Amino acid sequence: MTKKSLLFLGPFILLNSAVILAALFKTIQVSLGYYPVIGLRHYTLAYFKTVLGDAAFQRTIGYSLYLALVATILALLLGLGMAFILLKTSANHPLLANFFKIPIALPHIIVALMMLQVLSQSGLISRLLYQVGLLQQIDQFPLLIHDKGGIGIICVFLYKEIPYVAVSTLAILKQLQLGYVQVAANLGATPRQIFGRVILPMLQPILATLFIILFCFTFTSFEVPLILGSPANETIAVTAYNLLTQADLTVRPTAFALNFIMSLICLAMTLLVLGISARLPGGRRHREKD
Amino acid sequence: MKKKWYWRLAALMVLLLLLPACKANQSSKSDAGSGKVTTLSAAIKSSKGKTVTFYGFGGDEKANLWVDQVVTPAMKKKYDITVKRVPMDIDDILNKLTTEKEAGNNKGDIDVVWINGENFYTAKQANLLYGPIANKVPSFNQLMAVNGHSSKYDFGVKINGYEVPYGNAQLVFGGDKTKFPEGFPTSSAKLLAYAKANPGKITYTAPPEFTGSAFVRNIICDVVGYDKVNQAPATKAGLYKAIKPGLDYLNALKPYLWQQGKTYPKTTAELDQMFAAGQINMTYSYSPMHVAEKRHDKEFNDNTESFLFDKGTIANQNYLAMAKSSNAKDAALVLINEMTSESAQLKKAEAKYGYSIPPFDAQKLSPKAKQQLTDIYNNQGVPSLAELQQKQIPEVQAKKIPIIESLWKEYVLND
Amino acid sequence: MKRTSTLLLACFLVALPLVVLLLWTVATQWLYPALVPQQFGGKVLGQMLQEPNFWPAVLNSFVIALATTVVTLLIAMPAAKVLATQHFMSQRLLTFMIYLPFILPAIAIVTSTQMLFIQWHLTGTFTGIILSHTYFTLPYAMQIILESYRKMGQGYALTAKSLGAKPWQILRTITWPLMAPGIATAAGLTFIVSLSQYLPTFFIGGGKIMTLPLILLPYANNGRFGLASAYSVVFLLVTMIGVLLLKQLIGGWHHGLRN
Repeated sequence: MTKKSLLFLGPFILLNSAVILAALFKTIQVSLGYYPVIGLRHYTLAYFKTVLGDAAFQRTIGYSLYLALVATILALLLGLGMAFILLKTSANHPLLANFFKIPIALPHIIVALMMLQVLSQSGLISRLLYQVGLLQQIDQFPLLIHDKGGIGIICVFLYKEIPYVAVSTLAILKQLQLGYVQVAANLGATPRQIFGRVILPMLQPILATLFIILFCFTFTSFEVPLILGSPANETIAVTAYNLLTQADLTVRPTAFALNFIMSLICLAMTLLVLGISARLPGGRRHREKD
Repeated sequence: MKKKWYWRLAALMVLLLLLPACKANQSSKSDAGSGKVTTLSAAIKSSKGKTVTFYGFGGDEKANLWVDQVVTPAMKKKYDITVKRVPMDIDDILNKLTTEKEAGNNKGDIDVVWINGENFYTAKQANLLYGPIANKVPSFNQLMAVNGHSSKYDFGVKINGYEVPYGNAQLVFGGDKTKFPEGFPTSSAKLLAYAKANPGKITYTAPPEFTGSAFVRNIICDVVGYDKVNQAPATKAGLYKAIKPGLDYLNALKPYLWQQGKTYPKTTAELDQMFAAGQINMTYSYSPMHVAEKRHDKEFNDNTESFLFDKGTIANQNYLAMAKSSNAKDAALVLINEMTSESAQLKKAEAKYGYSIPPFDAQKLSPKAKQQLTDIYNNQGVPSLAELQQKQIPEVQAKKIPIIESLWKEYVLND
Repeated sequence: MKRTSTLLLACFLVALPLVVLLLWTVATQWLYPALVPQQFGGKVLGQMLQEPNFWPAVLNSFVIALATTVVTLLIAMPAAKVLATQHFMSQRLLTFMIYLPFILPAIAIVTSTQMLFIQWHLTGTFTGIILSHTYFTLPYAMQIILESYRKMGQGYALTAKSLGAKPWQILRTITWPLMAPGIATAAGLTFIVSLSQYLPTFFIGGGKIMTLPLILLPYANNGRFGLASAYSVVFLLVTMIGVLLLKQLIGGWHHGLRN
């Protein structure tokens, strides 16, 4: 570790750790019941116990995992697919390619409102079907908003994240196109070898990274399920948000306990994905084995 | 050796974090906020040239316009005070005030707050407000019922002069009269009968959405009677016992709701949209003039009219309060007085600014002002002022609201 | 061609909600089952322009996002340079460190750091807002720049160094041109993420400094589709101007050198 490196790293570490340590410190403190503003001064595990023992909470975790995993995996698959398409078409259709990126710039809450206007039973698609005569009554349109499966929520995330994944992976695909694949092919590699030795090692680290970013974001996002979700199927982030915005300050410790549990789940998922990624071709562990 | 820098940095960070924390502990002992307010005339003198902030809900463009076009210019012209309106939800305001207090900050950004109910209860409990101020506000003494229920209690919480009434709200239903050939359902029993005859045509916004929460409380009060809810202890078990018939009613209604009550809309805007599309036959709002407004905006057709329950609908008031950490309490007092003045409030009652009902005591108003207010209610499709006042249920205690919401969730939603 | 039609379909799906957004800003009546508004008018746009905070919010949003981008790049580029070639800690720990801001819920971060910012007298200041935004934008920028550094490798720079090039020359003629596309992407994304920040702007800025999301969100939460749409359109325009400007600035330098 040279002095120069320390100088280069300093601002990054300083800002990040200041914020993170402060947040972690406070979250743990409050979730353990130390909250002097309302006179709570005794540390206790009671809040964690209540939260973890609650059947509704266990359902909530399952539902949140379902939403986050479905949205993340679909976004990665479709985004990667779109990246391949952009790779071949963006040169000929730069305008369309740029248009496709617009959702990246829209805040989630706006996309949620737009989806409401497109997918709800009185939304644009329902109107279209009604106009062409496929729909006689508004209630014949399937429930895509506030539904059990969270289709509306997933659509919002896909709308936002597919372009993001496409743009993020496109740069790597361009490098692949620059010659690695050709070189490998010229050297007599089979398609399978090209995939395993060239494409996968270059792509999987970025896909793992994107998986972590998208999973953590969708798992902790409250704005979208708050607007489009079904009240009977709450996500853990919405529960935490509802507790945090409740006027009653005595539920704060529970809210912070939920936040802490959410962080732990994201943490576990991150470590898991990084571990898998490290063992795949292109990962650090994989290379060490060779 | 390699990893030592790492620990050194960590130690530095911990130090950096602890340093200000120590400092905060010292400063938190000093009196929060600066200045005290004695009288309005003194406040007017000392606040010249100052800037005062107004923090409140920012999602109603007409109420925003009123502050920007009526209050702000008047404050500048009359008192040379600059008003800054900050659109912020009340829970964010409370979060901010709480954190500022924790940090021992006594120069807060927030001066005047638009608040009521549970939030007032919390703010008062956490000692975030400055007061008493009501007796220092001439508009309050001259125009309002100083000893009236709503001047003394906000959602059953003792006000003690920490709030000044700012506006009225009452739950009002709206329906398309052609779809109710036998008349509007003016009781919970009639509503259930209508729902059974017209399955899927009724729904409500899911609590904790606050109008939906009021709808649920209104139903419960209609079924079990307000007094029972009022007298029940503010515990989960006690309330459950008292309101069980209300919850049973909601469960009986559930299969006849839109989507068999398996899901609910999330905002009143959505409820209005479903109503306008003919998907459901009934909507509701906390604003008594809602139907007139929507008819004016051509969102609802002219067959839409308002109605109330015979036993009444939930009414409450919203208030203005002053933050304890306010740095311009004198200017804040002047602002509160101006916002509750007759001239400003009569403007607020106009269509352009959202038809808001002033919190005034009718007997204390000038005949001209009284006439002007009565005329507004001759607007098509809304109940008369007399009917509104006659069919009122007071708001249940603030503490009980989250409990009722969680009981609804447990016994109605997830049942 | 099949690929082009897939792209067209994707663009159509992207456009669908956007069309709704645009129509809402000019509609005065749009009831079911009408496909397009029954009545058009400038009512919503008028309401938006009447808002006294409108122009300050546009300006503040732009300035804050631009400044955040500069600060983020200044912090991320040197850090990424060191981290891309470092050997003193495991790659996993490193990645983990960078992504921590994603893992911790924003609301917990914001409410707790507010204390810190109050104590450092940074609340209600542009510096405070920009720093808090930087925290949230850093992971995005780090990820992209780190990737660029890794893909570039040290080879070129080492070759140049062995040929006697000065650090400044290496940066100007090798590192920057090779990195420019990555940096431009990182800058654009940083600008976008900063512009849409709501919680930190609110809590650290305390409402003293108005930005577009601060005005937009209450309308969105209250289901005021018209006004929310109008602000979103402005929001999109500001984003596009910012991203194009950044691309021009960063890409331009790169271009000039090439010629």
